[in-house]
Amino acid sequence: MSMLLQCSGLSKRFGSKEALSGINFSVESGRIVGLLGPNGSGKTTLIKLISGLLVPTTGSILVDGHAPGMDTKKIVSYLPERTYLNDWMRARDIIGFFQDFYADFDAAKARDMLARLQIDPADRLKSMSKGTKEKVQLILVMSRNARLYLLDEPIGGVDPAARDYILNTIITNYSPDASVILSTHLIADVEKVLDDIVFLSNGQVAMTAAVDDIRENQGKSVDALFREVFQC
Amino acid sequence: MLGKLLRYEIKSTARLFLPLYAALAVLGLLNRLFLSISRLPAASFVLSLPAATGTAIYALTVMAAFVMTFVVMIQRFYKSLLGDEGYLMFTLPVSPAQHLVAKLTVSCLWIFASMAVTAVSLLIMLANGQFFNSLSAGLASALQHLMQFDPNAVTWAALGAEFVALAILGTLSSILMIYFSISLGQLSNRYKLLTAVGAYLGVNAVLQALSTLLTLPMAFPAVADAIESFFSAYPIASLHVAAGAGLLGALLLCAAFFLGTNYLLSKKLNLE
Repeated sequence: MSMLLQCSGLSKRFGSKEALSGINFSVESGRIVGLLGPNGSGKTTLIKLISGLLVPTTGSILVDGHAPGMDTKKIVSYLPERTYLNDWMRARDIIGFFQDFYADFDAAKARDMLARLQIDPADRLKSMSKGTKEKVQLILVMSRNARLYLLDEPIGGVDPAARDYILNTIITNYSPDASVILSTHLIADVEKVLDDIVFLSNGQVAMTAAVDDIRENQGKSVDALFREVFQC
Repeated sequence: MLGKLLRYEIKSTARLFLPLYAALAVLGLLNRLFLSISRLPAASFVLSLPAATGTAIYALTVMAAFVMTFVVMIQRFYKSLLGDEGYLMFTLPVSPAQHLVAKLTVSCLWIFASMAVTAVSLLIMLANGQFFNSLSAGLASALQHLMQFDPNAVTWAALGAEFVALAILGTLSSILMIYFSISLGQLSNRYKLLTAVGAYLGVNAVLQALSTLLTLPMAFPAVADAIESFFSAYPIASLHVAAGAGLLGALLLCAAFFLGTNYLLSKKLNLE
């Protein structure tokens, strides 16, 4: 098994506030990893560091052996927690945009998924609801044949039916040498697709485990374990 | 990749500029009509009103075009690289330098396009036989004066080229200074725009201080006299020296701001 992602001694400070400190963890190829933690625990910061939108204060990140940069951006497919698309563009323009810039983008797959979710490629982003925009972004991100998918709250804003479709897409879409890291607090919904979990608490890794271990050795669901670890 | 970035950048901005340029052309045409009506022998006060209003609207539209060129230049950098859209742009497999070149080229393109379109719309509005006659007469007499001064046409062509280059490099360095200030501003976790404005004023102050320092020797009468006598002895050479110094300065500024911005976007990116 090769290590697809390695974070060592990773810290990120915003002014005097320490968002992440001493993060060590790694992800092998072929895993679906849940990045779980309460609000403000540093999930988004960690994902932004891996995608190269932030620069770590200390420590290092290696994606397939490279520090975040041009080489990693070719193989990392990132879904931010906000909408980052131009309002004036139509869904099909954005498909063209992704096709232009990402060699691993599968436009036919994207069009197929739009059709499945009944989104008209001729619609402008401006006229779409927030949930529909999120679906479009997820479709774009999942239509790449990337090595590492970073999904920040991929199901937060969409209805339960679309949620199931999206989770199905995530598990069926990616190739065996690719991995997915997804952050969410809707644990019960994603639990069934996860291989591993990383619990983040106050900017530190509180626990990493394989989901099978949690179920077999502790006899608990991830959701129950989460509530136990993060009891208020 | 740079070609794709350029194409996308032009597409994103053209939809703002092209309608405005069309409006300028149409207003030029309308004003031409109104002006010729107001010049009719039988024209009354009422008939001259459209010309007056039309000219005022035209002038406002020209101003709007230049304000918009400036605003779009800032907005395209601030919003599309350092705002929400930056999440998309900075996860593309494209280097920050390529982003920078794309934004810079397209901004520069629109600045010159706005000038050209304004000139063309003025021609649409005013050009007639008389206009071209006086224009060519003016050009001819200017050319005659230049030739009296130095009959070698190559001299003037070279000087002309130097000043065009100076105008382009000067525009580039002004844009890059704004980009650099915005990139400094994004380092702040809370007051990105305010810090950017502060950075701009700060950089400006540093440049002022530097230019004062460079021209300080002129304060000595001996130096000022020497420069003056050099200028009267070799006027053409002096112009070349002045243009050369300006070019060198603008080139240094461009390089400094480009490298500075590229460093900030590559090593200090801080998308909120």
